[in-house]
Amino acid sequence: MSTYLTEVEDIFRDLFEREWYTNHGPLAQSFEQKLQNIFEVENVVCVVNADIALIMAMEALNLEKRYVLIVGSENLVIKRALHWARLQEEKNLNQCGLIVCCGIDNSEVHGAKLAASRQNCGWIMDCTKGISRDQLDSLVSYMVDDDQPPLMTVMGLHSGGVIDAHGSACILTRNDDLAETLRNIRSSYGVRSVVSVTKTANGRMSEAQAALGLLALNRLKIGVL
Amino acid sequence: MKKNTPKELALFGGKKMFEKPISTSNLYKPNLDDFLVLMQDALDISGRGKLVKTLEMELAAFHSVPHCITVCSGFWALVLSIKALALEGRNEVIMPSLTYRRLADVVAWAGLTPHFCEVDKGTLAISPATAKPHINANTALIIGVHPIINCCDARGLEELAKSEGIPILFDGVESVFETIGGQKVGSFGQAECFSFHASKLINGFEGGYITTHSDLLAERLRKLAWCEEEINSLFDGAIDIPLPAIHAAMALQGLREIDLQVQHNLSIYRHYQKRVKGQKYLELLDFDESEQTSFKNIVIKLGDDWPLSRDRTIKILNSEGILCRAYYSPPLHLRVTSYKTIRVALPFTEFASEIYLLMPCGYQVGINEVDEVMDFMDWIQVNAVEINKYFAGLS
Repeated sequence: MSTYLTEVEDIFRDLFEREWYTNHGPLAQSFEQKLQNIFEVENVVCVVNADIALIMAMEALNLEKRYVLIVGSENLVIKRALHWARLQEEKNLNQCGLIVCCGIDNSEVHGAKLAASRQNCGWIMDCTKGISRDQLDSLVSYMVDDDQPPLMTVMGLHSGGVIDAHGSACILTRNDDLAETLRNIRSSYGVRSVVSVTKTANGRMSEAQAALGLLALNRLKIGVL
Repeated sequence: MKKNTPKELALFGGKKMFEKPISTSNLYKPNLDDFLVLMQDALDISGRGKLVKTLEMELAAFHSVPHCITVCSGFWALVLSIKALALEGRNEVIMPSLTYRRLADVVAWAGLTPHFCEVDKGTLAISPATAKPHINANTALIIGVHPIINCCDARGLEELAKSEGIPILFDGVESVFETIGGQKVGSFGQAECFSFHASKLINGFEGGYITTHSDLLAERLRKLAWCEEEINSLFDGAIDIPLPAIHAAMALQGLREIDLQVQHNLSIYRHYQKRVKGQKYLELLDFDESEQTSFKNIVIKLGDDWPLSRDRTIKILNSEGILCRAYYSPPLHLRVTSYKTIRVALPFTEFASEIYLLMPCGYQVGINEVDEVMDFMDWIQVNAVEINKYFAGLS
C-alpha cells in the first residue's frame, strides 16, 4: 500500500475513533488554522463547496448598491453566484457597490484594485477554480498588502487546484467582522459570536474534507508546522 | 454517576455525568474496513463519478423511484427542488412552522415567501386540513414535511395538491426508512428531499439527495446541480453542488448497513418504552409499528405534572452532557427574519413547541446510557423542589 493511502487510512481511523464527522470538528478547525498560517491572514472560513462559498461571500456583504463590476475573463461561477445573491453585473463602474476579480493574474488584480479605488468600494478575488502551487506566493502577497487588500478571496479546494480537499472551498479575509458574518451564514457550528445575518446557507466543511485537505498540505510540504 | 443533592448538579458546579456528551444525533459509524475499500474509489479521480452513480442507483432502488440526484448539502437539495417545482408567477410556499429551524431560510434562498401553517394534533405534521386554509392565488408550492416521529399524511397532501393544481415537495429528512400504507417515503409528491448530515439515518458526513418519479424533473435538477458542462451553468438557478465522492463512500456504506442501524435503534426505543411505561410525568411518542420505521428519534412529552419547565429541564440535562433538545422550538413563525414571511397565530404549534423533548439516541447511545438518563430524570422529578430553589438562588 502506498504511503499516501496509509496516511489516509490513519487519519480516517482517528476520525472514526473520535466519531466527530462534521459541525466544525477538530480537523476542520486545524485545517482553517493551517490555511490562516499559510496565507498569513487573520481569518479562514472553510466551506463544503466553492459555489456555496462565493454565494456566501456576496451575501455577507449585504450590499446597498446591488450592481457588481466583474474584472477579467467571463466566469460562470461568478454569474451563478450573482444570481443567488440577487446581485447584477454592471459595466458602468459608477453604479457598482462591489468589484469581483476573476482569478489571480496581476493585470486583473491591478484592474480590480483600480476600479475599487475609483468607486471607493471593496473587491473580492475569485479563485473558486483553485490555484496552482506557483500562485500561492502571489495570493499571500495580495492578502497581506496593506494597500487595498481584497475584502475576501474565495478559493476552491478541489482537484482543479493545488490543495484538494474534495470539492470544498475556503474564504480568506482580514476583516474580523466579515469573518464572523460568514461563520454565522455557514451554520451555528464554529461561530465565535452570534451576529445577525439575512439568511443562513448551511455550508459546513466535513471532517472528511478537512482530513484530506490536511493531507494535501502535508504532501505539498506547505503549512507543516 | 448518581447525584445525591442538587448541589452536585453540573449546572451548579458538580461533576458532569457524561464527559463525552451523548446527543440526539444518529452519528452512525459504519464498518471501517468496508468504508476504506470504498474510500479508495473516492480518492481516485476516475472512480469518483462511478461511486456517486452507484450510490444514486442504490438509493433510487431503496426508495422505489427511478431517479435519485445527490448534492453536497441537504439544505441546497431543498432550495433547488423548490426552485425547480414552484409555479411561475406565484411566490408563496405553504409549510409548517413547527419544523427544521432553517426551512424558512431555504425558501428565502429560492426567492419565495414562507407561508406558515398549523400542524395536526395527532401527527405534529402539516396535513390537508392545516394546509388548505392557506392556499390562495399566490401559492406556488406546498412543502409536506415529515415530523420527527412517523410521517405526515402524504397521500392526503398529494390529493389536496392535485385538486388545487399546486406542486408538492416532501421533506423526508427524518423519514428515510419509513413507509406510508406500505409505500416507501421518497416516492411521494413531485419530489422528496433527504440529508446525509451525520446526525441523520444515513451518515454521509454531509450532503443530500432528491428522489423523483419524473424523468423531466430529474433531468432539470441534474442540469441545475451539476454544472460540469459550461452550457448548463447558464440555466437560471444553476449551482454547481455535486456530492463529494468521499461523502458518497460514507453514505453508501451506511445505506448498505441500514438494517443494522434500525436494529440498534429498535433496541434503544424498546428500552425507553420500558422505562417510561407507567410514568405519569413522561409520555413517549410511539412509532407506528404497522409501517416500516427506523425508530431513529426518541421524543418525550413532559406531562402537566412534570415539576420543572421544559427549558429548565433541558438546561440541567445539557450541563450533564446529555444533549437533549427542545422539539422545534421556537417555531418558525415566532422567529424574526430579514425577509418577508406570512404568519398568523398558530396556537397548537406554539403549545407543542413547549412540551416535547428529544432524548439521546443513535449509534453512540446504548441501553446503559438510556438507564442513566432515565434514572436521572426520575431523580430530577423527586428533587424538583430543591432544584427549583437552587435556580431561584441563581436568579
